[in-house]
Amino acid sequence: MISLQEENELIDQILGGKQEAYARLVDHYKSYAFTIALRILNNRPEAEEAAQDGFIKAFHYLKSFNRKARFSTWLYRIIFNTAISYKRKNRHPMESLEHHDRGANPDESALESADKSAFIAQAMGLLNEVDRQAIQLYYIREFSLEEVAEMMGQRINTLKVRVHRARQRLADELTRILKEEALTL
Amino acid sequence: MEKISNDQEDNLQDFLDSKLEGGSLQQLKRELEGSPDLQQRLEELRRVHTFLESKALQSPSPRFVERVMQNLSRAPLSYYASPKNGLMLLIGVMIASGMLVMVVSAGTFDQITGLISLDQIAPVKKYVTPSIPALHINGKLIMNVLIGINLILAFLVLDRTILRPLFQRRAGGHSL
Repeated sequence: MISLQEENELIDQILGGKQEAYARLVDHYKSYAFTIALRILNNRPEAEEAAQDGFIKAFHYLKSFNRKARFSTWLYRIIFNTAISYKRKNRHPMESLEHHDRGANPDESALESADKSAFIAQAMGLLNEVDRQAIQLYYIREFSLEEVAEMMGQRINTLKVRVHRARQRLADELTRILKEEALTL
Repeated sequence: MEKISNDQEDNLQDFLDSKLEGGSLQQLKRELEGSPDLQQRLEELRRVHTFLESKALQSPSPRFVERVMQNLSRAPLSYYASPKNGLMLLIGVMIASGMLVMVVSAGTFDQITGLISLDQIAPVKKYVTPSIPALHINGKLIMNVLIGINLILAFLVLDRTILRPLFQRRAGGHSL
């Protein structure tokens, strides 16, 4: 864990020419950065490349970081924008089930959980792209509505509406899909 | 089935996010007790909420930090346009250059020469009294300059969108 003061000291060192200090920042934020890219791109190798590229970009732009916002928010916005530009360059189908975690609920069997993953992925594919990004980023652990809004360059109220709307739509679609599945049994 | 209002829907979502407090929370609890439809809706929303919440933070490959540190000196890959777009742009520039060369070779601009007398241009005449030398116009020369600019542009596009990203990838920076 890096404290705010330590983070500022590391930034000072990097700006002073001590490039190796950047490794600590990369190590500290790599999982969040990678998860953001993965939620946007849905493809592990590409998300890894986008996250790496985002970190390199952040290093080159570090001088422009004015320290009014938190470093993490600034960094995540760069990662988010980089992932979006990767997505535009190489369009991927949304519904890859590769990264939908199994075991959402410990009471469920692996099969039920895998089914639910597939159903939610299917429902997720019906959302518009910005709503989908909003809800996926919102559910990355510890991200507040404010942070996600800052990252996506949106107003908090707009983002809240997007998250609510997306969750509502997912719940509706999941209910519909489960009913259809029940009828086919 | 009882109609669930937008406010109730919002309250259910705020409740799941633990953002509902005080009077609003108490009111929702009362409404939930008296409405099986509202309870069912809460369960539908909770199902999605629990699933999304359980999605863990993902870790990149073990050599992630090392790769970033190795590539710090190079420009980020997303600085460059995609090779496909670069190739399209390059083809466009080359076609434009080719057409210019054909037009120039055909001698279309050989006869376009002359003088532009700056003294006669109204705004200049109004403010400048001393005589200004006339400007020589040579159509062929202008077209040759345009061809030269196009070729330089083509080289830059080739370098920025195809060659540089290709060599950087080959240098091993992005082998995963």
